[in-house]
Amino acid sequence: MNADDPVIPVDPQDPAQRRRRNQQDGARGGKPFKFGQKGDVREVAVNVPPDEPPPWQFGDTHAVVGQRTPRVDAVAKVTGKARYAYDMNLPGMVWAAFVRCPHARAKVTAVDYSEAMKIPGVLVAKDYGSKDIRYALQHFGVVAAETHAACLEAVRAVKATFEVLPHAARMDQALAPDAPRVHSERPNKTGDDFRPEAVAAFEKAAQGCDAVVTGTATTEVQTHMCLEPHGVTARFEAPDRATVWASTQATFGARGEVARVLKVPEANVTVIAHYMGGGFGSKFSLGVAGAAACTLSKELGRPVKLMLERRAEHAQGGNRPSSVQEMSLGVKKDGTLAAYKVSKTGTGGIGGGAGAANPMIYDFGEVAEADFEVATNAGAAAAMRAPRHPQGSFALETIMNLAAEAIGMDPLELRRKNDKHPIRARQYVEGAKRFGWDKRTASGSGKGPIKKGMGVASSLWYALGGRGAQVLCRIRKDGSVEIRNGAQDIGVGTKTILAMVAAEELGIPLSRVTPFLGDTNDPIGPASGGSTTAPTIMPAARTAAFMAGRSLREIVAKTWDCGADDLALGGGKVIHLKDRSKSMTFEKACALMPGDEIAELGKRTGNYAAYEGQTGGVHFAEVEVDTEDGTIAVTRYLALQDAGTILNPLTAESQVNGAIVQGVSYALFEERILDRQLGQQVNADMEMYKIAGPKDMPRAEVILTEVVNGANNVGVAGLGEGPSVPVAAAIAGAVHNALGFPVWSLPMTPDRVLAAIAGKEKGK
Amino acid sequence: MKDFTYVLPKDAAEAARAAAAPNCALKGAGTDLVDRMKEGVTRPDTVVNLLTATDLRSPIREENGRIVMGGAITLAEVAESELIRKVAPGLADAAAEAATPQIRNRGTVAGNLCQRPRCWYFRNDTYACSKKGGETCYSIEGENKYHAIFENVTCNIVHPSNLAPILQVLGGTLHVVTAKGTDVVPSDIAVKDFWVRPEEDISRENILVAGQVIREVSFPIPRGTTGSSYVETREKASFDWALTSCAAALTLEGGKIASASVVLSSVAPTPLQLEAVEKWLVGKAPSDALFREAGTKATDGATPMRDNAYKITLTAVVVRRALSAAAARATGGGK
Repeated sequence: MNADDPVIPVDPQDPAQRRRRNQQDGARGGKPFKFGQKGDVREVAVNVPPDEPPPWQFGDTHAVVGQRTPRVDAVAKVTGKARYAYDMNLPGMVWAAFVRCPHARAKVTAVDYSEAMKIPGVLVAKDYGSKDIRYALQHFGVVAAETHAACLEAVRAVKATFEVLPHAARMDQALAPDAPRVHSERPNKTGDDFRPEAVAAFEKAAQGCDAVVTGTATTEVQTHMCLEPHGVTARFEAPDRATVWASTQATFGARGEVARVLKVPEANVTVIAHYMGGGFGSKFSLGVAGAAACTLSKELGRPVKLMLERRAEHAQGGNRPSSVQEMSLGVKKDGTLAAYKVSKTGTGGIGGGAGAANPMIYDFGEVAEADFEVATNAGAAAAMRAPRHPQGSFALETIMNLAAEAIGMDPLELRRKNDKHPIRARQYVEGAKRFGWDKRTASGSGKGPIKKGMGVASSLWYALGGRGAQVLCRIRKDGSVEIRNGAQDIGVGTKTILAMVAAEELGIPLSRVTPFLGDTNDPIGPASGGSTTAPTIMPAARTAAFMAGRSLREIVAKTWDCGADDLALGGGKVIHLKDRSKSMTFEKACALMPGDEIAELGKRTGNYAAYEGQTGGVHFAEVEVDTEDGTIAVTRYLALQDAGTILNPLTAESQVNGAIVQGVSYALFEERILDRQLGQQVNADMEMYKIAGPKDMPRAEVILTEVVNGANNVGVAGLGEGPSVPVAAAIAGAVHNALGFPVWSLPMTPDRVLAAIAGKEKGK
Repeated sequence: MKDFTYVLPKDAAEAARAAAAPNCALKGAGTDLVDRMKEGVTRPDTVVNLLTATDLRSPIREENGRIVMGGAITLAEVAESELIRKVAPGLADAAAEAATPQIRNRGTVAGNLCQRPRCWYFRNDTYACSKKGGETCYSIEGENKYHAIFENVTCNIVHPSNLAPILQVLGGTLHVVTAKGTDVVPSDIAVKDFWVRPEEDISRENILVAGQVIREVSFPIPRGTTGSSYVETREKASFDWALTSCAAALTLEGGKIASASVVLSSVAPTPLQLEAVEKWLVGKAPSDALFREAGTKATDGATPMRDNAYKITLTAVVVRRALSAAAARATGGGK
């Protein structure tokens, strides 16, 4: 913590620390503000830093914030005017592509580039990267050419010979007794087994339970499938500058990487990401494509574009790890969860990073946990929208449903009983009413081949943002306003809410504010990860606008011979708070400024003591399972989701809708299928890698739960990940209710559903 | 993608002459061909764009007791044709079920029949599979959840065309033109005789040869008491390939099945005419129990692989559903 910090920062991931600090903060004194939700408003003391406006508190009303506002760049996007990194075609630009190995494990023994170099327009064909191949489609060479066509022909013309080695591309192969080692220095399966004392405590607690339910949930690897693949268009500008148009979730991180790759000062590097075609957690680094493009640009003295082709995007672009979660849950008749044992195994490919957020949300009593990672000869995992959580949620919500059945309790009641989060506590009740939970029938009680069911699952996230952003607000003499930050809008509407916050603070219409994001020549901003972009940037934006507005008030105060604090901005005017006869339009006030502009830099300070450190959500799903052909139709969906202060309901709902789309897809369709022979992904395209389409969508409703969290002066919380957590779990719960038994494997494709039905009939 | 000569013929005759060129690919909408060219699986020296041949666009019409249409009529036109919906709704259903609105607006009838299989080993040029001249069918040991459960011996592709089984059920005919030197000769091929099994020639799926173009497609208008249907199962509701599909036509007389035509697809390298099931159905009164039994009979002789036994269940389902739909249309007099 910085010594000059006026407020106590809260680590949002640590509720214990949060509670402690809440108390400390209260003890320190400070001005009390009202935070919370309907029916639970708490006074929390906050020392507001001198350059910050007072936090928005419960009961405040807003003019611009909270209005359903279309994206400011909507027209540019739908008309194709928006220019993505892939769209950048610069004068003299060269296309580049990697040369790849089709085998999951091999040594590249010889490469002949001579035929490739003979193709007209080919400039470079050479080794690039390791010759020790560890996963299929790993690159070992690179080609650059005048045209995309020549580039791809040159890749085909490269003649390589491989010493093909035994591989373990799939988890079942890596776990086989005679499996080849993926990493020579360690076994394929590593991790932490159960602690014996935890198992003993679990067993003791389980003995006191009325039922112990068991089950093993499995989830498959999901790839990110960004519509715009990983890559950049890079322009080295001799002798020591560079501009890179990158498809990135971290403009400033990428700038540092470009500087290191090219050995030039960071100050001389500009990274631009005005638009971004999907990242979902997979685009935090410059990546192999970006580094290669930068290097080639320096070497050739020309701009270079290198974007991964679709098959490589699946292999090299990252993925969500798989999981196998074996669970035992002990429950008492009154719904008390007393004993929980879970063993988790998964693969994050060659890079690791598997795991499942299980347990979470509910109080499970005595918990014994084991966690294993299996190394495989497959593309490395990357962070993906709520890493570890959708897997964990699917497994633990499924075992919860089983426990509820075992004691004859409604599954929603079991959740309410074991979840003390104040926001979810309200959402369970509101959601059940809105969704018609009382019409849910007993599990498996439906007649006829098509069975209906309802399910529920819960969400949490830790997204209140933190330090790491500065925002520049400029008021021009003509009354127009710029609001600038160098971080990226990854497609969620950040640019729009940035302008809305400035317009709100300055009391002017949105149309008068022009927002700028995605250029590292503007002030520092965060990487878009952990759902922190909005809660990190927006408080700084509000502070910047507040400071610029204060400077404007000071100018007007001189004219009116009063104090700046006697004046306020609102309704497009400067108003005298004590003398209502005095007012001046915003433009007239701006015309009074001595220079051409007011420019103020707002800084993000640490978080205040918040109402709640975690955001909450509760989701409901309704399905129809066709027990003849094994298909599942998600007919209705309701998501109740808290994201603090809702700056723009339209884009916030869109975020949740996006999570529902991706979650339906994860629940029912998406699966990386690796060929056990060569180890390649056989469905590495946009046809056989199945993604939910329009007809697969439920009728979805989003209810944004109003919570004034008080974590900072705006109080917005991140919404990227929380709603992604429970979607597959809620759908699986509905399927369980329809069939009368769970389908334990994602995706719930017809083959798996039919197998589950056949297995159940056999068991009878 | 390598450079190629692009031919824009003005009619089928010109297209056929151009198609006689060595290593030539015919392009309808290109939704399949361009994919294969991008993957490097097909590398033609000449591409003939059939969409510029005006006689391939001859409209859907009734002619001498038959429905006739140009080979380049789109799936959307078939799906929306009131004439087809009236006389052979099964064909309209098959066209409507295919792909996406965008693809249906471009994709052609002949292109749908001649598209190459979707096998993920065939479509990946780094797999030297037997269909591409290699020595192995990778689906035998590999990932085969979408592969054939019938006639899966040398190459386990499944036939991907929605229109193939229903046009076969309807007794359809392909009106082909063939370039012979500078002459162009018309000939007819029955849809049922169009297919090539892998054991006959693993490199292709139909009997068309270089210099041949499907100019028109036709089928006889079914009798008034005939009902036709097309039913498929798939994983996704939007844009997906069938896991199993079945086309059926039933003619009812005096409450009994007078004739039956049932063709399965998506389960074998070619559409499969279920002759034994057809014979068994004739003379019986339609009922759910009968069609359920027919579905089970349809799976006789299936030889599933490691990951595709579920398709047996789904075969029985599509047969039963297709027969029920055809019978309902025959009974209703609504075809």
